[in-house]
Amino acid sequence: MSVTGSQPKRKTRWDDAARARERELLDTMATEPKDSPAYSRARDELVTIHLPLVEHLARRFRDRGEPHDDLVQVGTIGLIKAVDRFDQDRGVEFSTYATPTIVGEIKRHFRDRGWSIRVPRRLQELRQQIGQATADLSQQSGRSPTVAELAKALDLSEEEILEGIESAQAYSTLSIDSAGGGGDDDSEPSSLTETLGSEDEALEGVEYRESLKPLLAALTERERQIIMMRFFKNMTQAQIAEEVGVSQMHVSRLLTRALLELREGLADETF
Amino acid sequence: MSSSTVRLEIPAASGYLVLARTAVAAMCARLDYPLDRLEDVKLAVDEACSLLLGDTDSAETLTLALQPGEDGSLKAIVSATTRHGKAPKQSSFAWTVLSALVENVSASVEDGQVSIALQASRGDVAVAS
Repeated sequence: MSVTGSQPKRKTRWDDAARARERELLDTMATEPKDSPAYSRARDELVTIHLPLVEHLARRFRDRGEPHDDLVQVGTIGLIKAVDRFDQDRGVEFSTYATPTIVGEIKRHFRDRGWSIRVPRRLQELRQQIGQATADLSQQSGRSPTVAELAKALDLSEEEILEGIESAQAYSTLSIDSAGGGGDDDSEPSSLTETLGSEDEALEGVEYRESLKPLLAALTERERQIIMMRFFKNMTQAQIAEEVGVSQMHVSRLLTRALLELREGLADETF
Repeated sequence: MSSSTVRLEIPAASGYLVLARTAVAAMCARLDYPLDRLEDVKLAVDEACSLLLGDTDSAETLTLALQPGEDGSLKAIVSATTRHGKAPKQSSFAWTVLSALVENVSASVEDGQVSIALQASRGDVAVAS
């Protein structure tokens, strides 16, 4: 593949070879059956060659208080959606079509978090600092840092750290009500996102399995994955963060959000 | 109860849970818990409170007691007088969640007052190997 070299400029200009390859892949997706290996290979490659576009677009949203990696992650979901929905007959370039979908997904991430609207600038920055320091310190010591360590590293009080951590959670809790059970559209498993194959196995012997299944199905792929990892495979948040490729704070938020949805659905079974 | 026990009484409404979460987080920080551990304990207390809230009239109150141990462990007890006066089933999803988040979970009922006790440690998290 010859997609190497310069980053896409404003309007992505592909060289001819890359463009031809892209068309070829799109043709494959249009003609091959959806469950064929050829289809999923074409899909994967299309996603892969457009990842620099996601990177590029995610960078537009830097300094807004969300880790770059998380934005790339949600942007990639947008890219996958674009790949799945693109219709060559519309006569537009794929990148032209994909860009608003990717940006839309990133914006939705901010909106879901209630971020740009509600969170004071100071807290956004604080949260970003904590996220970065957590990643750095975890890397150094191989475990999650304590509040005291974070305070020391950032030259802040422990109280400020606690405030920063809680704000992340509180604001995401606020946004749940407005999210309206959204995110259902990225629930279809993709061959890129590791699907948790042994879900049934993990749930075996769980009494409320039958009522849990449809609720799990209503979560996004990633939420479901994280729920399974945390509660049925007993992985730590840090391990999950590493596995899924998002920050630990993001894992924590997703867990809290997913739990809220599951809790409501399972309330009758609890007592 | 030891002298370092913290007790918090809040109205039985979800809007007040932030107070419980904040108290737990601050206590975990005092005990030098790593961040992921802190988040787990906070999530567990949030879950336990939410559980009881679901079966509690809004006129009631929810009590959270935080008892730090000498060894850096933390016992968090959430109690409320619920409508049904029943402990959550051990076979429920909520129980699975709580058990995954902290080392030990137990529940008891006394005069219609339901308590959920969560025992957490700073230690190297219960990692499945």
